[in-house]
Amino acid sequence: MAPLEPWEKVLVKEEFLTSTHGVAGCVACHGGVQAEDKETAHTGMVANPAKDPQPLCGTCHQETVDDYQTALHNTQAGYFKMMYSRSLPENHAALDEAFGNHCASCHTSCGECHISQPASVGGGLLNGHLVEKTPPMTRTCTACHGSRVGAEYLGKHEEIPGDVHFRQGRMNCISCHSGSSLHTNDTASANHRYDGPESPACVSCHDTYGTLKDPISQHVIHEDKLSCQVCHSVQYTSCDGCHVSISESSGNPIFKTEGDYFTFFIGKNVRQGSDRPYEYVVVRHIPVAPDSYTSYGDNLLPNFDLLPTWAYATPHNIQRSTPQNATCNSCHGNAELFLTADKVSAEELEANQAVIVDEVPAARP
Amino acid sequence: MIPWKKLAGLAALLVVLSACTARTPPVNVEPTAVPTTITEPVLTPTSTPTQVASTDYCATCHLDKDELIRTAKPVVEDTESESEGKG
Repeated sequence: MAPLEPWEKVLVKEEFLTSTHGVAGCVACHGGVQAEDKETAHTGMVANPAKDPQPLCGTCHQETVDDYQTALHNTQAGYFKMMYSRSLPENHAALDEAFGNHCASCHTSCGECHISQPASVGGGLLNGHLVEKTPPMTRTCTACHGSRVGAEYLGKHEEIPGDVHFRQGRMNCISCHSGSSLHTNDTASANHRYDGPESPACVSCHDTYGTLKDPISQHVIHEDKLSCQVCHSVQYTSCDGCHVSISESSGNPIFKTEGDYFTFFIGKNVRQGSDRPYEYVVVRHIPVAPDSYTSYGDNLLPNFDLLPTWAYATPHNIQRSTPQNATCNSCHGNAELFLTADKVSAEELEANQAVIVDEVPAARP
Repeated sequence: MIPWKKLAGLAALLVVLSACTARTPPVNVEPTAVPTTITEPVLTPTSTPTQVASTDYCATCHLDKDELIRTAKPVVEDTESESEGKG
C-alpha cells in the first residue's frame, strides 16, 4: 500500500460536513479552536478522538462500544496470554514495557477502521472523513494483516495462488469475519483468537461437509481427523525469532526477525477438544525466541518450552486442489508434509513435543 | 288521588328555602400534584461555545487541497527503517 501524501491524509470531503457524523462540526470531536491560524486552530486538538470511544461513538453506538471492550482488536489480550504463559509474574512489568513500545500500536480504535487507516500504517482519511460502514479491505484489514494473511489471500507471492475465496469468490475479509465478530469476543475467545469455537468456521458455508449429503467421500472419511487447511491450504509464511529493542541511534522501538520462509507442515493439534477435534492441523513457525525480549531484561521467558514454536495455523490461501489432496498417497506416507522431529531445531524440540508427528500415517496399499 | 296542589306547593317551598341555605365554601379544586420525572437534557459532546464563529476555519482549510499543501509541515525525509524482516 503506497503511503499517502500529508495533504491526502487530512483532506475532508464537503459532503462530510452535512453528513450525520459531520454536522456537529470538527471541534465537537477533535477539540482545538476555531481560528484562522493553523497553529492556534490546532491547540489542544485530538487527532484520533475515537481512542476513547465512550463519549463520542458511544453516544449513538453504545452497544457496539460496550461490546468492543472485549474485542481482541481492542484488548490485544492474545499477546499477553502468550507472553505471560511463557514467563513468570515477576517479569510481567518488563514484558508490558516491551509490549507498550513494540506491540501496542496494533490496537485499533473505531475511527482507525471506519474513518481512517490505522495509525500503525501511517493513518490518513479513508474517504474524506466520511464514515465507512464497511472498512475497505486493503486499506484497513490487510494494511495491518498484510505480510502474511493479506499477501497469501490476495496471491501476492510468486507461484503461490491466492485464496480461492478471493480469486473466484471475490470475497473480502468481512465475508467471513463479520462486523459483529470483529466488534466483540465472547468469554470463550476473549483471551485468544483460537480459544472457543471456530469463528469463522468453514462449515458455516460448506454445511454439507462430512454429512450424508457430502458428495466428496474424503470429507466423510477424514471428517474430524483433519482441519480443512490440512487438505486445502498450500505453502504459507513462517517466521523465525523476532527480537525487539530500542535503537541506540534514533531511540525508536525496532524489531529484527531472523528470517521468513515458506512452509507447509502438518502437525499434531495441541488445541484438540470439542471445538477443534482434529488430530492433525497445519502449523507455522511463529517469530518467538527465548531471547526475544532480552533488551528489556534477562531471561524474561523462563517457561519458553511450555508452548510450541510451531503453532496451530489457519493459512488464508485455500485451494480446492492441492498437492497433498491429489491422491491418498500424496499425503499418506509422505513424510515431507509432516512436522517430524528432524525438521525442528534442537533447542526447540522440547517446546514442540506435543506438535511433532512421531509416526507419519502409513501409505495406502 | 294525588294531591297535585300540595305537591306543587311543597316544591315551590323547597325552591324558596334552597335559596336561603348557608353558602357552602368553595370546594378546594386545586390540582393534585402529579409526580413527573424531570429528565436532564442529554449531554452530547459539543464544542465549548467560547465563540460563535461565522466562518468554519477548520472546513475552510481541510476542504482545500492547495491550502493543505501550502500549510503542511515540511516532510522530513524518511530514514530507512531500522527494523529488519517482516513485522
